[in-house]
Amino acid sequence: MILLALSLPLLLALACLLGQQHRLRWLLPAASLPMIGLAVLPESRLELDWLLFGLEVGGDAVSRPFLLLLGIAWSLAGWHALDYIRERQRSFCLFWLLTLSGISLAFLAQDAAGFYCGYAVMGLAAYGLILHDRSAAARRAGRVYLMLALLGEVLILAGLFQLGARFGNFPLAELGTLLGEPVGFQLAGWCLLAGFAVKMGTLPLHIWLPLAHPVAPAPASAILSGVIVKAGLLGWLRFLPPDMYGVSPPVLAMVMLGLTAAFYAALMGLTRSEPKAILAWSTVSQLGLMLVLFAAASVGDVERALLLPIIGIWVLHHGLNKAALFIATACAPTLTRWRLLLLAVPALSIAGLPLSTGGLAKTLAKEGLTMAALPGWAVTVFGLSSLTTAWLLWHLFDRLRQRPGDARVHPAWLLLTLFAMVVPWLWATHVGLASWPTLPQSWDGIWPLLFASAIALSWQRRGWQLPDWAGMQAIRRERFVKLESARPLSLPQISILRQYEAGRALLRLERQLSLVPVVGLGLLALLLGLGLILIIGM
Amino acid sequence: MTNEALIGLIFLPLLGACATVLPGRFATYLGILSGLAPLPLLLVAVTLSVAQNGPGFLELGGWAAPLGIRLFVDPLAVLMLWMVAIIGGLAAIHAWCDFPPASPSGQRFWPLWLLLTSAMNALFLSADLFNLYVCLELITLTAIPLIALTGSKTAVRAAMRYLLLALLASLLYLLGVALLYNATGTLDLYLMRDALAAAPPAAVVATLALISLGLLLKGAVFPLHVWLPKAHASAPGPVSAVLSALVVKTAIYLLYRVWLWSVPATVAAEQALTLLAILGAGALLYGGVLALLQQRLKLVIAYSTVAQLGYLLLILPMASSGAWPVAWQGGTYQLLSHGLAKAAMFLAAANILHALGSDRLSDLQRLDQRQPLSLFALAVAGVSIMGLPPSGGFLAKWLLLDAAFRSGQWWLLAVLVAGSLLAAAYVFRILAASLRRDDPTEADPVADTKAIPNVQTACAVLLALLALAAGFAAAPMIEFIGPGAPGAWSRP
Amino acid sequence: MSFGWQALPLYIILVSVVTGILVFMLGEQRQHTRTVLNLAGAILKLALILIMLLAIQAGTTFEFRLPLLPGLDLLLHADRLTMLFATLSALLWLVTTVYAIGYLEQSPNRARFFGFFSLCVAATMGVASAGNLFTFFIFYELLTLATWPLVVHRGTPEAFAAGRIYLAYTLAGGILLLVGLIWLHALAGAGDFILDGSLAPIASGNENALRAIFVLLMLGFGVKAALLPLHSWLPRAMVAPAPVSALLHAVAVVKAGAFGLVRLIQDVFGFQLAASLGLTDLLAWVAGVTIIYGSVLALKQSDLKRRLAYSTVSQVSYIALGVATGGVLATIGGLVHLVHQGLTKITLFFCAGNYAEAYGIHKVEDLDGLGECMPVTSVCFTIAALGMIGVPPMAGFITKWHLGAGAMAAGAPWVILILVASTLLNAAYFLPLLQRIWFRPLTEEIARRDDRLGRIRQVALIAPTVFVAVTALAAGLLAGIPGSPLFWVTRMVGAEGP
Repeated sequence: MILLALSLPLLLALACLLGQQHRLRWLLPAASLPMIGLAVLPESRLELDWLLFGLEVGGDAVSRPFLLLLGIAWSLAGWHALDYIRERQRSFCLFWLLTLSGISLAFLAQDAAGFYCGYAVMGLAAYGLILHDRSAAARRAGRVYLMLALLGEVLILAGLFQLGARFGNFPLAELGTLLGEPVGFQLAGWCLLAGFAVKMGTLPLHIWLPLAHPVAPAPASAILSGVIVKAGLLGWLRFLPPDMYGVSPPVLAMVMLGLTAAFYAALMGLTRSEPKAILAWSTVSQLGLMLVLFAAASVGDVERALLLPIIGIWVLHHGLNKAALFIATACAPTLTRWRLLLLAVPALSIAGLPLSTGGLAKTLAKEGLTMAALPGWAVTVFGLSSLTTAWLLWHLFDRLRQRPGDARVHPAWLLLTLFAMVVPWLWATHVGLASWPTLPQSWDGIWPLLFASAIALSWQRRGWQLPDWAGMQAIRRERFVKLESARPLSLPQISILRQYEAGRALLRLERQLSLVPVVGLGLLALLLGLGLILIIGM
Repeated sequence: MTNEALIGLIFLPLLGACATVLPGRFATYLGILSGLAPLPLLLVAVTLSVAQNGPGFLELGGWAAPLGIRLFVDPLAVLMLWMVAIIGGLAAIHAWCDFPPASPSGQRFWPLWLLLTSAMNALFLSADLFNLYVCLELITLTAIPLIALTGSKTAVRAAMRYLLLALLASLLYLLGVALLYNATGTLDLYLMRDALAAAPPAAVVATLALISLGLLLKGAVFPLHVWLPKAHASAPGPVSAVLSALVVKTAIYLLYRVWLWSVPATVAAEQALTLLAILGAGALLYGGVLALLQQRLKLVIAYSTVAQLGYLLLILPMASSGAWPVAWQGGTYQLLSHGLAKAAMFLAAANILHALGSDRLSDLQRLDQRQPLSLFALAVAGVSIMGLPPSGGFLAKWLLLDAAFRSGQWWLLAVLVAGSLLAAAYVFRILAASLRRDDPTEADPVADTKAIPNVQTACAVLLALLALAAGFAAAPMIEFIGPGAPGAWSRP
Repeated sequence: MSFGWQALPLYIILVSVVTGILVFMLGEQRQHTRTVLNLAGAILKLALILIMLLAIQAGTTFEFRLPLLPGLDLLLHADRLTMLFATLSALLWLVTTVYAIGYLEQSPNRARFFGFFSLCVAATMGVASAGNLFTFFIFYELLTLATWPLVVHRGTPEAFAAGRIYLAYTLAGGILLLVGLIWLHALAGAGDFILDGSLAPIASGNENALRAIFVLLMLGFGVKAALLPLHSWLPRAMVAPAPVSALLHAVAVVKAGAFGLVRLIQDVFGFQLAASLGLTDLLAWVAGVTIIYGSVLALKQSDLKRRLAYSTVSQVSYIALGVATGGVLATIGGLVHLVHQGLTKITLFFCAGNYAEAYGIHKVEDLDGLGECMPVTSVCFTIAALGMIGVPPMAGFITKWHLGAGAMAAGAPWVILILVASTLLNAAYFLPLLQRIWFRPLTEEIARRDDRLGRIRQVALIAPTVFVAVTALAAGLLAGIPGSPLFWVTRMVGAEGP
């Protein structure tokens, strides 16, 4: 099963490379299906000694929700892509499958090198997805993405070097034990934290997200936002045990950063008009909330154990819903009644409507944060983020409604929405966290929605619009990042013959020397010289 | 047996020369063959004897020194004789095609050639300064007509310049010899050391200065080299080869004999040797740079000779140091490998000149297609001249550098390094010129090329291969050469 | 001196020499005979090396000794390091021969080309199997001589200008090497390569002399290994035909220099001694600066081959960096890069050659959209470029992992900064190429050009390219299996100690 999960995308990618994509396209959705099996079936391990430094792969408790998300979201998005992608199918399929094989390895790997390998492949292959439509905007977005992704990867690599020097290619599960007396690894911890933060779109490193999503095709955006960014979170969970290499992690700073991101990104999203850009900002905002959860989970071992399942539910909930929303942008230009419902369900879920998966996730998160002894205000602000999220999604709804055009409802959208409603609940039941919301909890979930709706509607009635300056900002930043070109140093060329003047002078000298009188003089001089030396010597 | 062999080495070519001037084709052939062919066989006998019994004297006619004429043979002399036999022999084969014995030009060429061979053999064996004078004079007087043999204006002018300066040199030498005889009463190289030690200093100084100066002029040591390039470049190919590989070396050989075998090891002598080495350094650098500036292949090779002779003088100031054995090995090996390589280069250059009708560097392009084997000989010999492995030149340079290092003479090290870089520059300049192709559309590059007899090509290639082989056969040869002059210079 | 079975290294060298000589003698016209001869020579040599490899596994020792000067021998032997380099060069020689046969299909002077090509590989073999520095030097200089005609092969003024620069640098480097060698000889006698410390007994009292010798030898090797500031011959030498560039960069010249540095640290001085004299730090710093400098300059090049050349400048220094950093892991990283860089770089040069031959493309700007018309070449190029950057699971990653972790273990964390910066710079000059190849539309001008590769040439050019690309990929992906470069190097370092 594991072997199938890892090799299927690769084999299909190879087939694409050889030009067989037309015949094998229907397998595109199937490529990620084995992941669902791995997530649900009992744990199993596979050792691949012959790969790299010897890989060990298999699902474990940490990665199960990730695997489940990968299996569902990727398969359905792939199905959608089958019909949605009309141009450059070969290129799309190839990068789609390569990205999938990368992320599969990253999710399944049980050792550092394997994880990094999958992570890097995924990061690079995703570039091809972002660049799918080859436009100038896509190229710019791709460049920014690639620069940041590489920066992240070398930071991770630098961190891994420091760990690898002591532990070699260590099993991920044993990192906590191995570190034991974690002296001298602070720097590694920071490198890894910052490295994975790129994928997670943590605040100053988020600029690629709003650039990349609008230009990528809808299914690609769906998996970028729904699944790929979660690889960063998994990286954190894998490589950063609660004590983070002997430094008490700056939990409060991380929390504040996360919360800032949650609000800042939502507001930034309001300035954009492109639905996928709005969703991208929404993702940045939601990832900020996940950073808060991770920060709380870094307080200590107990907190980690407590929050881990909650993070899993978050991953599932956000991934599926966000993927559904992205597919919706492709399927719902005109909002009929059914389409409205299909759009509203994931949107409301993300905004945290009670009884929805989002409501469940948010309730659980707040409980968890409180138990992790986060300050009360932080928990409150965490809850308040629903307000801006809801407003942002109203904005999205408004924008989608204004878009002209016609598109078929794709069954994948339907299914994805359905799964988004059900699967996180099932998972919560599986990990024993499912519970009906109490009345106060429900109220906590509902009032921000109502309030946000009120703001949004009044705002909309007056026709207000925030200026679109996010794009410009990103461009400025990109210019800053662009490497200043260096002038090549030129070393002096070595050539004797270049000195023509000197050469001519020598030739003149030689002619002079050849004159017989000069030879005579030379003879006399030498005679005297030799004689003198001998006489002086005696 | 050995004695007869030694006499044969001198007199067989002499008799051959006499035979070639007799009328009749048969006499010419007989003279050439009997004059040259037995030399290697005789040398084998001599070599074996020297290897077994060490250096030895031979009194001609049974008269002992200082009255009689003595011959002296030691490993150095054997080495030089072998070079005469091999290089001279191959050059003679090369010359056979250009100067067929039956032709008028051959009639003029072969007596001179045999006489030259005889004179060189006699010089390497003589132990007496006056006999050596005779040999030197004979060499000069046979070499000059050989240079002028083509009769072209440049060749005659170069030969005349050579004649003028060589006679001046002979006079200086003779003056020195006369003073010496007056002061010491002996002319025997190997008996002179004690006599010199007892002689009045002024006479010794004048003697040594005059003799050395004469030899420096004959040996074309910088800055007295001016006659050499034109003379060597305008001579016929095999003559150039022998002139550059052997004739100038006779003077250097005599310098070695005089300074290392005959002069008492004093501070003054050591300083004089340093002066000679400075001249050698000058030759190495100046010759190298001028070789770089030449436009004609044979001139480049001729200036290369000027430069390479410098190596031979560079070893002199190490005579009193502990590094002397290594330096001596390096010097003698340089004698050998330079001789082989330079002869190969001149023969190849002669072939190229014949084939293309010009030896200007700018006319050499596409030589790799027009004269591949000659270029091969040129290149392989060039490797040896540059002192790059695998070649005799490399081992010689290694030994010289090693000696310079051991004796702590850092300036020698620098000069050696600079000299070999210059050599690389001018050799690669030739090679680059011959690989060039200015006009890629030119249809058949071979069309305007004259055919060269295979024998001539083979001679050049064989010599080049010998220079290469010298890079692998050094160990026994160096063992045979031994430590040089016996016990004269203090060697801690 | 025995010419029996023990002298196998000599025969391996002679195979190439004889091939070269026969090719010269065949002349220009007999193309088929020459092709057969070339291939037969390459295959025979590879076979002999494999036999030797097996024999060494079985415990045989190979040695050929020929006294050249009193106390100085021409010594050929085969240790593990020899076998690593020899196997690499024999394999790549075979591949490059096939490629060159296709590449030079119509061009003049092929006999000369293939003759020197063989001599060049013979010299490389000699460098690999040299048993002492003296022998090493002989073959090292021979390599200079054999490659010069290849560099100037095109016969154009630019080619000769490049050849002149090449000679100026390499011969000057050779002289420095010679001086260092003679100094060492005067100081310590002619030692064979003995691991760790034939020099140790004479070290005390001679520290400064040894330092000076090390610097001289380092400069001598550094010229060929293109260490800063001795590298500028390398980009100029790009005027040579593509197979030559491939050979220069991947197998022969540059590698010989790097190999020399490895020998210098490991077998002449021994890491302990070199480190105690502060010499390894020197080399590591020089290598580090070279890595960065080469990468920065590569960014600036618009000519594809020149960009690759500067990339070589940067990448080869990884080898020196790894060996100079010391410790098991970093040494493994350095040595394994000897192989990895060779495979990867030769792929890149083959691809560049294919682009140039098929569509006359030399500039980076003209690469736009070539993925469409030359998919196979482009995929190979992509694999190799990613390998250079060090993206897992490519070979470059294996190197970087060992170097980085090794540097930490050896207490040289600054190396990680170098690696990080170099990775970013590598990405900065390779990824735009990939972006152009795959994601830009074909320019009209190129689209109008015809594919100039004939059917046969297509096979001869593309098959070797695919082969090396797949090998490069496998070297990284399958690093864990017995027989991979990493496996060999790990055993080697493990067996002999760092």
